[in-house]
Amino acid sequence: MNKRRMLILFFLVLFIASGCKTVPKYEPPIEPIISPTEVNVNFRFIAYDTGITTPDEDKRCYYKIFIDKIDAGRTTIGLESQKKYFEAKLSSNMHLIVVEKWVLDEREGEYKKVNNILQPKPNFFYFETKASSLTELIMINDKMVNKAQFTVTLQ
Amino acid sequence: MEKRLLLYLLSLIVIMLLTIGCKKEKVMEIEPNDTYTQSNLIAIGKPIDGFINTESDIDFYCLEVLNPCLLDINVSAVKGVNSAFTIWKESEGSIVPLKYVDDLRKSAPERFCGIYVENGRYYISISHGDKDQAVKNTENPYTLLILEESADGFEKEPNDTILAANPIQIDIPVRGYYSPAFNKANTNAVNPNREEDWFTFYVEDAPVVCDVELSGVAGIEALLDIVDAQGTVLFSSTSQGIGVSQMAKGIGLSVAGNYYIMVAAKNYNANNDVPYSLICTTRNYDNKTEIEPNNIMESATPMVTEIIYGRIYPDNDIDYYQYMGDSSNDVFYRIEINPPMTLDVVSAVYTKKGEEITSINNNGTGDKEVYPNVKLNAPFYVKVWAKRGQVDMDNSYALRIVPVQMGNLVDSEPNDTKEQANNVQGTLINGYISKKHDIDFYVLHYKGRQKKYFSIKAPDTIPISFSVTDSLGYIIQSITVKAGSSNTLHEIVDMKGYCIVKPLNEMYDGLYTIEIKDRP
Repeated sequence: MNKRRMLILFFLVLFIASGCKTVPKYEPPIEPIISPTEVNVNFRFIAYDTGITTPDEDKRCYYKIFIDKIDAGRTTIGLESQKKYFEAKLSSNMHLIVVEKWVLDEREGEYKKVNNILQPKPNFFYFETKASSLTELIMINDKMVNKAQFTVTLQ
Repeated sequence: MEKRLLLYLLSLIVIMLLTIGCKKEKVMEIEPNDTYTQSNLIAIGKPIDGFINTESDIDFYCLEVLNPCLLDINVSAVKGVNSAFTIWKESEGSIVPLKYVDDLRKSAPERFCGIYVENGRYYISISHGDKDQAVKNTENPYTLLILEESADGFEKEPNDTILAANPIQIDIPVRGYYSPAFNKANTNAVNPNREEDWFTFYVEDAPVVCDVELSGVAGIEALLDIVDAQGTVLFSSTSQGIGVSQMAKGIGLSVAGNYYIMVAAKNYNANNDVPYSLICTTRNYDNKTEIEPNNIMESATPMVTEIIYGRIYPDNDIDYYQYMGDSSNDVFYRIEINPPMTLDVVSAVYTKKGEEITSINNNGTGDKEVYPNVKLNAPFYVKVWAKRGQVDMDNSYALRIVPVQMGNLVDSEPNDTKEQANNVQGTLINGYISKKHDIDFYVLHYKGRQKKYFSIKAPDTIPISFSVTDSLGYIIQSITVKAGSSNTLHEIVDMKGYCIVKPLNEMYDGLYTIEIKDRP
């Protein structure tokens, strides 16, 4: 009797295992982890959103970065709720950063610039950098009202 | 007065003589002649009349043949009767049927040409045909007339099976008739009772390529098959229409031995008045033409030269070629098919294991098909065919395969999806817009985040779009590059990213270049 039960259990496990084959393989997004000890930088920008109530609202995005009105690149890519990073080596001076939010349009398969109305406000910040220390600027955007708060620290 | 009487008498005699001379010599059958032992003896060229006296009446006639010849046997029409006749040969005290002749029509004559007879006794039995309900006719007689013909250059019936095939000589035509004979021994499920003419020829020096031509005959849709000694069908014609000739071109005969040709008419049609002409010619194989049959991969024509010629004939013809090249490494090949103006050719490329690499079908009728960069390990296979219903018996297409000698050619098809993306090792990508709407994916791998400057040069006739994606393949940035121009783009690659190249018009066969740099 036990043998029969064992046999039924074995086939049940086999069936479930074969059914699992159809589950698509998860491909994690590759995002570099930046450490200041590895990269010779003196400015780090971190941005993320708050006020996200459902996963559907939490879209993949990045911020395009303009420093002193020049295209300096973009942040890493992640969910709006996740921290996204941008680092650079800047001269010791006051600098202007302007950010532009781009969100993934999954249907089109490409990132599209968020409408100006929905861009974080303000989308700019003045900060000072020094050669010997790292300036870290954190932007927290409340997605409910598109209001951004900037916090700057010197490390 | 005496003179006048004499003149009168003379005139009367002349009229009587003329009347007697014009009167046909009429020979009637002598019943009972219902079995071959009771048969009436007849002679070549002497007509004999007879009646279908009863529904089951059979009239046997006997013919003594002294010299080998061909016979033309005629039975005239009987009103309301579907008459038929059977030709028999005496053999060891018995008789064996050679032919059953019935055109299945009422009130119609029956005729059979080309029956070959040797010294001996032959019988003809006339009866009611199988098709209609048997009826008698005691008022209208039939007339049986047998004529003699020369056997030179003609088929020798019965040649209804492969075992009874008539030997023919290469380059010497032979003639034959589409006879209204039913071959009751033909139990072929597709064409039961079909009257077939079989011929055989011998090939001494193989391999050779043979061409067989069968002339057209009015009212006949000709069928032509070529079979080897093992019974393998090397060629089977398809419908060409009524009265049109059939041709088998470039049939490869790889081993010495006997080969067989079958000629038949579609739908049991017959023509006893006009013979067909059949000729078989052979030529040495020059490595520049296909060898039929090459309809399957296993019988692919070896391709040892840069160009090979082939025909799409008959309908639904498929030609396979095996490219024999250097098998040490994967090599890029350029494949071109130049069709005649009548054909819209399609092609496909297969590995030696039979896996399809790509299909080639960009253009319409009469236009060249090209695939500029197929990466393969030789030997490989190329299949060529035409759109349904297209054939060209007279004009060949040319298939050309050449290795592509180009550095940094990364574009290895198929790379139309992210999953098929080609891995980029260096800093230069050469690629082709290989087909209409061809999309090429390339994958980049770097240590950490790297800002890269991409310099793209579009093909001379094809504007393209160039995109860089994130690690998941979602486009971050795209640019368009005008045909023959260059453009640049810079983007950060977060360890992994994809480049996507898309054509912006329907052109293809264009080379583009992507240079990836660390600085502008």
